[in-house]
Amino acid sequence: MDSIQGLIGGFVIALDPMNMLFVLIGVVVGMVIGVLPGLGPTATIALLLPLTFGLEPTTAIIMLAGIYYGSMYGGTITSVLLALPGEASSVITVIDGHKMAKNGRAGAALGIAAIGSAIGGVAAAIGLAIFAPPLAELALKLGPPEFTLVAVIGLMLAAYLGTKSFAKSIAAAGIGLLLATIGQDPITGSTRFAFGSVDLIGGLSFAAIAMGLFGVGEILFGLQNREAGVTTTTRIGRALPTRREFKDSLPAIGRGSGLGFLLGVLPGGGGMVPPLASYALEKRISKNRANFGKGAIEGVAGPETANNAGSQAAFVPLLTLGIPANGVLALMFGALLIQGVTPGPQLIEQHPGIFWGVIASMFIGNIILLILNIPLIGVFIKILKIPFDLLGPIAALVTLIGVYTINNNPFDMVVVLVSGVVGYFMRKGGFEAAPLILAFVLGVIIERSLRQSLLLSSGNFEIFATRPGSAVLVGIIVLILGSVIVQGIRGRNKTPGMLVSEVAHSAEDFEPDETPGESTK
Amino acid sequence: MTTECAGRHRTASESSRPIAQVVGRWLGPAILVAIGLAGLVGSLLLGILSDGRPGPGLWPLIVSSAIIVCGVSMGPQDDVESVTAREFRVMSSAVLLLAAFVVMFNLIGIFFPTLIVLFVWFKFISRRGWIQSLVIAAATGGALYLIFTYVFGVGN
Repeated sequence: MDSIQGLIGGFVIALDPMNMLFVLIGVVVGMVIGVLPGLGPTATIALLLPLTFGLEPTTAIIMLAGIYYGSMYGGTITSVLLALPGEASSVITVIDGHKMAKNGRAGAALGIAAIGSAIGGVAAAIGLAIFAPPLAELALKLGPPEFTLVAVIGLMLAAYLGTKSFAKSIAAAGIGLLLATIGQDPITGSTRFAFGSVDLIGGLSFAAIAMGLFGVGEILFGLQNREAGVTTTTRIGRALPTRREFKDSLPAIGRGSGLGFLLGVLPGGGGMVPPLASYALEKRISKNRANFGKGAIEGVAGPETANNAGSQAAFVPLLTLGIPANGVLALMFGALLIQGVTPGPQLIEQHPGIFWGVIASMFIGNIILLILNIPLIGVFIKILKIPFDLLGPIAALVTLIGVYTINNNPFDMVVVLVSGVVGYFMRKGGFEAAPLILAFVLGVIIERSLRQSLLLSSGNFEIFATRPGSAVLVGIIVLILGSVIVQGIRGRNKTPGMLVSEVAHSAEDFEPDETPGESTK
Repeated sequence: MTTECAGRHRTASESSRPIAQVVGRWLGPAILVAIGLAGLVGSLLLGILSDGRPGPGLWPLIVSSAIIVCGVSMGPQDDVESVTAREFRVMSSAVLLLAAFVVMFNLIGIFFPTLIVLFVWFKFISRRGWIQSLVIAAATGGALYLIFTYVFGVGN
């Protein structure tokens, strides 16, 4: 079967020493930033974009993907030990994980989280290997009208499942689309919004906006809550769960894998949604549900598995349709574009090495994470002591110099700085930055297919309703918009993503004030 | 401070708070509508149709209209974090330092701009000691110089 051959080829690529080295670098960097609060995978990947230009496309994506799912692992460590989620998606783990730590079972919690995540990740990789090729084939049958609509739905879903209000996320996306129009019209070549500046005629640099919005923006925002470093004296206890605990967790892990994969495939569905859904599910049907909230290991196993499975499933739209599902993947999309690789339905045929190499590397990366996770915990605790008020400015300068290394263009540095300020004010105003970069990346694609569609139909917008595929997709858009409007009228005004975020954050306040380390022993 | 002064201070800030709040709640939507309108005008100037085919202004028109609709329909925003005077000072100092870095970097390279900017930052924004700031700034400057010049080949 083609897929098996492809996968074997992928493993050959993934096991190449260079790619092994970079997946190792990626997952370790990912774990480190997962542990550090405030610096997320989006900011880190944005900062490391210049580094990827010297690498092969496959190697670059393998490393960036490693950072992404590695950070999911890292976030767990601080959630369990300090009740401080290192990543937004680790918030749920705090509930039962920290309780377990206070009972001296931190090691078991971390261990089952690592094992569950590995299983979830491998399951998602298998899912990818099985479902992605047929999906890619289906995607090839999409014409310009359908493709335009799918991309628009992707943006809308990302806004719908995002953590801020729908209108704000769509507005941010709109700004991103508008920014993408600066420069040359992709079809007629005329310059738009360049105001006579030579620098603007070539369009804004994606990397500069990304690095500014997420890198510098985060740093500026973080200036106000600076912690000089966090200390902890929590005991780790036994480093692994008991056989009994492992057996008890298996159903939760199994359900978490499936749920995480399904939710993660939806654009915007990665992030907080899978762990919360898994926790809610386990709380309803787990045998041990009475103990949820008091240190039930299933309450850690399920969400952690779903978390990792979800973040890897998010690669499906990117690898099959060429549509990134969230901010992190938009960055990877951009990284590939700059390398001259256009992700899309044809990726599996034109660049099978990238397609299968990334999937195979996910198997390997998860195994590496599992092996590294437990011995490195002590190291990570020490890392938490690094003063962030020193790290921030250094990172900012690295960002500025880094963007210069891409095009040797000082204007890019200005773009980074301006984007950073914009990012700061967006955060303050309650706007999410991810839809902006997602839309910026998709902007050219959407416009091109839109205009191709209109050329096909000789300027008639009806083509979107008369083609069967498009009609269905238009129906979906109407459904989403309708649901948002109805909720607005009812006064509920909250997207599912916002609800998820609120529940997750109330979990943060779950712990009464206690100094870490004061266990009952 | 006498109680009279304190009283006067209090009423002064109390009366300005509602105005600040109104501004804060409407600023986001207002900016969006402004951007949308600017985009709208620009798209019309670019031309929506050229020879009966979609022109360069068509897509920007669609996007700008969507932005205006969002701005108008979102109404006053309640989840806005206010920027305190202190935060604004810290943030703008940081931005000014980084802007200075960009200028200096393009004139004299990596090492000295890094040293100067980091030293000022550590000493005055992070409020670290003189020697600690100087040492870390210099060490970072040196490290960045070595890394970026030899690994990335950034010309100086």
